Amino acid sequence: MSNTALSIQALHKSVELNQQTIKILTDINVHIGKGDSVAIVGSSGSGKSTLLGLMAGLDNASNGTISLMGNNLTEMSEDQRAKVRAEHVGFVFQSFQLLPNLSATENVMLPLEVLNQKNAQHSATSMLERVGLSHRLTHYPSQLSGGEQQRVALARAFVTQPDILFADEPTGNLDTKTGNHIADLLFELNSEVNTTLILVTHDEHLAKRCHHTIRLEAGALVNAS
Amino acid sequence: MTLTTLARLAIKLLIREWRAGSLTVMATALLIAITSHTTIGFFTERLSNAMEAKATHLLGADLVIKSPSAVSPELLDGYVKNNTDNLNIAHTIEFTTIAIAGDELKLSSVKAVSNNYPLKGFMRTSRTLFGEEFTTTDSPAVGEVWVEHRVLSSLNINIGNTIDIGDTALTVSRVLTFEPDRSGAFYALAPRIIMNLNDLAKAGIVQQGSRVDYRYLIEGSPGSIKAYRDWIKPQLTPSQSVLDIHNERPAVSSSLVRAESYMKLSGLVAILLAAVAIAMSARLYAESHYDTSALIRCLGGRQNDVLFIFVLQLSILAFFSGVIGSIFGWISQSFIAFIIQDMLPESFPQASLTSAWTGLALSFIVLFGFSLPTLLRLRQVSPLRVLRKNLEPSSLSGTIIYLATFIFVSLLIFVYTQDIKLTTASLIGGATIALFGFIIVALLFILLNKLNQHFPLIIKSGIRNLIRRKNETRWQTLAFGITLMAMTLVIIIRSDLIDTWQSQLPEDIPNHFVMNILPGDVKAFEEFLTENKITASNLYPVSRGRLTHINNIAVKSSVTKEEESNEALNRELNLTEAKAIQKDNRLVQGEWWPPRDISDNSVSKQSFSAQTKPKVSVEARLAKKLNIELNDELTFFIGSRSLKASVSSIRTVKWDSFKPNFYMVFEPGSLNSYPTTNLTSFYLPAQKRKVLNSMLRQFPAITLLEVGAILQQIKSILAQVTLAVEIVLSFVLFAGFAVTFAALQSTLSQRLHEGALMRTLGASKRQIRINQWVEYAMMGSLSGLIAVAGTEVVLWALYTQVFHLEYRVNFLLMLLLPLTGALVIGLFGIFTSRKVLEESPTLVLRES
Ligand SMILES: Nc1ncnc2c1ncn2[C@@H]1O[C@H](COP(=O)(O)OP(=O)(O)OP(=O)(O)O)[C@@H](O)[C@H]1O
Ligand SMILES: [Mg+2]
Repeated sequence: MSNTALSIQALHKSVELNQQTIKILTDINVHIGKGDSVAIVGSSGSGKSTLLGLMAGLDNASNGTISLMGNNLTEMSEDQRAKVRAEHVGFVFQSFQLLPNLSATENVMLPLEVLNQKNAQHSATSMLERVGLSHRLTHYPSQLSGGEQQRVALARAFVTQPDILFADEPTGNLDTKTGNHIADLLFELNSEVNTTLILVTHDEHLAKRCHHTIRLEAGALVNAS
Repeated sequence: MTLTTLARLAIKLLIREWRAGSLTVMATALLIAITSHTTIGFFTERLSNAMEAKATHLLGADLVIKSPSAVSPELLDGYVKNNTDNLNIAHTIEFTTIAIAGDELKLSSVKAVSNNYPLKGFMRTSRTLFGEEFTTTDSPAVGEVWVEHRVLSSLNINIGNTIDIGDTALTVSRVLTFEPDRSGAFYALAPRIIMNLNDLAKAGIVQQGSRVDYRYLIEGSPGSIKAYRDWIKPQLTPSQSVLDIHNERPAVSSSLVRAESYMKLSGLVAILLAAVAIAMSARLYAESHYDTSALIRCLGGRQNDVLFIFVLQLSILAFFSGVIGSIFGWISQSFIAFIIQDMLPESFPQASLTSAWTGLALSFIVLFGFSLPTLLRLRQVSPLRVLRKNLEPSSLSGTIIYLATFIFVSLLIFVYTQDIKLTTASLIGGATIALFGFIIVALLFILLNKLNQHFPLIIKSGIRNLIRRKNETRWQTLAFGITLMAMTLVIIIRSDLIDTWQSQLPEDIPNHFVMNILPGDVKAFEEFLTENKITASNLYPVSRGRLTHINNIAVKSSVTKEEESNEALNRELNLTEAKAIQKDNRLVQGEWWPPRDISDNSVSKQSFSAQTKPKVSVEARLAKKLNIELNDELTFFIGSRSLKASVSSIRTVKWDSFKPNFYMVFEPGSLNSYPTTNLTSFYLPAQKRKVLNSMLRQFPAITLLEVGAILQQIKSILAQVTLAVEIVLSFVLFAGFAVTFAALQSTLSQRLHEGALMRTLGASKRQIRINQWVEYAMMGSLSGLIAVAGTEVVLWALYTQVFHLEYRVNFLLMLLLPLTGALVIGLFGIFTSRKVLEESPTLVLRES
């Protein structure tokens, strides 16, 4: 197997809006090796989330190729991409995205159930213990604070030991102190599981903790480091 | 994802949804639909089984073969010998003969019956004259007869005396008051004597060539009866015939048919209303699960995995609602049967499980039919929604959804009514009402917007809220309006239906008929009635005559052979004359003769010559059968003289009204020179029956007929049906409430959010509450206006186009409906959105 986790070539993304074509991303080329951590930064509206969605196979590119863990996403159907996501990808979102009707444990079990793994309950509980929520196992999202919810989300993201983790402003909804805790936890888990990490952030501190930074401006890469 | 994990996830989520209460409205609406369907299904099935049983009771068997001569035993038993089917056969032989006791003679209609008669149903008899009646399935023993009271009074004998029938003397052991298979109209019959078939040979009166009616009563399982009928029918001669309950329908069948179609239609209204509630709550359910769908997809679930989860959830919901609804339906129909058990026939058969199966099927059909379009959108949700909240799934084209719903509703109506005309009419009507309703709502909103500045300050902001949300509130107003309209219509039609029945069979409906009151006895008879405080109907003068010619063509040759059996032609008719048309008769052609000055003595003395033929009004069905038209000349034979009359009108008669009814009504004076007797009817409560003894003693010439037993039967049937109708009505009301809840819920989260925001911005609870009241009450009264317009239009159409009745605008409704709407929607609205005031704003804002 090659050493590349993610490779993007000549990626374009545009959308039709009121009979007008809006270019969101133009000619993006990125290579990310396994185990790397990459921060995507840029001003609001520059296309960060769009790029992240494309990388994770949540969206269709207009042009170009995206290869994720050796899978050419651009040639795949939506359901095939879903399979790739289930096997290789973990997510953390700014707005947590926990299912309000499931308890903390059940939320963490969800990706394991998608993968049809045994001992889902056990793995979920130990993962929640790992993020320090052993006393919140049966709580529902509405009964948890923002920081706690994001910890559940982290547990959910890492419980499948994904090859690559996407995070869209994981600390964006939290105060600085809680945000730092979450970020610490994220990097700890990342090194434990040895995941490739790609995160979108406005936070320069957080970006600096990554090996590389990708800067977007008006949909184009400026200088990759 | 494997099916088991999906199923587990689906169930887990479903249970949580259930606990959170987000399925309550959908499940309740479904439950109402299924309970309504199964209650109606179970009950009408039992009712029609009971009716059928009752009808076979009236026939005395499942099947009767009627023949003018004895049927050969080979023919009768041949089938039974060659088949294992178990058929019971009873024999009766009917003939007219003179019964003799001492010096007295009476022409009587004798029925000789085998020992197993009657096979179905019962006779009613008493052991003393006008004594206590009781039902029996026995038949007279050898050497005994049971006779109608008329036989006793005319022969001047008592129970225990003997009468001679032909060459044999038989002892009178009971008075007969009711027999199941009495055929023909109840007047004009010689009184009945029932004897044992084994005494017939000794009597020696039934000889070759005598006019005798042989009947073979057959009882068996439905299958074997059908097989037997199919087997014997081709072997019968033209003079022999097969009778079954389908050609011997009970007189109340028209009321029952109407009641059943009312029940079915209101059942349909209940289901459609419930379906609207389901569609609304399904939409809400789907919309609140876009995030769930996106997240599961994001974690690697396929589109069909997501669909499967929701389809499975709905299937579980449909299954449980179907089962529980069927159980509720069973319970509620048992409950109805329990409440009215006194009115039910002794054997009220249980219903089969058919309605439970159709209920279960209906549960799936309604739930999926009305939620699938929105459910399919869940499949379309882009996983990208986890990053961009505002990404709505692309919807199926609106036209496709509306078309699908339309087809689906049409199918549902058709399956339910089995009537293509009715289906089209209700679809066109429904669509028109919806369209005009929407236009009216839109106009009302515009008007409201214009007027709002003139409203007092306190209600202004509530109305502004209503208008601001007009995209949703307009639809809600329309939905409430149509719901209110459906409920109003169902209530009004129910009242009309029940009023009709009650006016048809009032408490004091005549249960006795008296005929052959001689002209000389009229005064004394009337005095007898007043003395005994009996109110009777008018006395109708009656001459008995036969219709012989129509426009000088002999009637016999003008009718086909098939119609020869028409009872109106084969026997003498009761001819009467009247100044005014009977209340429940209706002219369909021609005109009634003008009322003449009563004080003018010459009127009643008036006689008619050949040039000035008297006018006659003819009953419509007979007129149609004989092709009688206005101004035709009819010739009657009364005694030995003829009477020519010209047809001046054709009228319909309510044959099931239990009042004296006539095929032919003449102009006053027409019958002056012909022999007439008088006829009347009256109501006599059971405890006063002894009066009849002295009546018969004082007026020995009269013929007294009791119809109380039949009346009682009919009354009990109508009472049952009325109750069933009201139960069905309550389902419509429940379904209407479900719609109201569903519609209010669909904007609840938005309201919660706004309310919380308002409160954080400093609005007082009182202010918010007033706003809510104003908004809901205004919406309610607007929908009341829609309902008024819709109801009036539908009622107008029904009355003038279907029932051909005069229609009067109902002004009370115009006031009542907007008020009801305001009150109901106001209360419901406050109730559903009480959370807006109760919950802390922070919690609400955080949850959303
Ligand atoms: N489906 C879409 N339709 C229309 N415009 C879109 C769509 N998706 C993205 N855009 C536009 O593309 C641009 C980039 O959006 P994107 O969400 O990727 O920005 P972002 O860098 O994540 O911004 P932020 O930091 O505020 O989250 C924005 O101007 C957005 O309005
Ligand atoms: Mg973004």
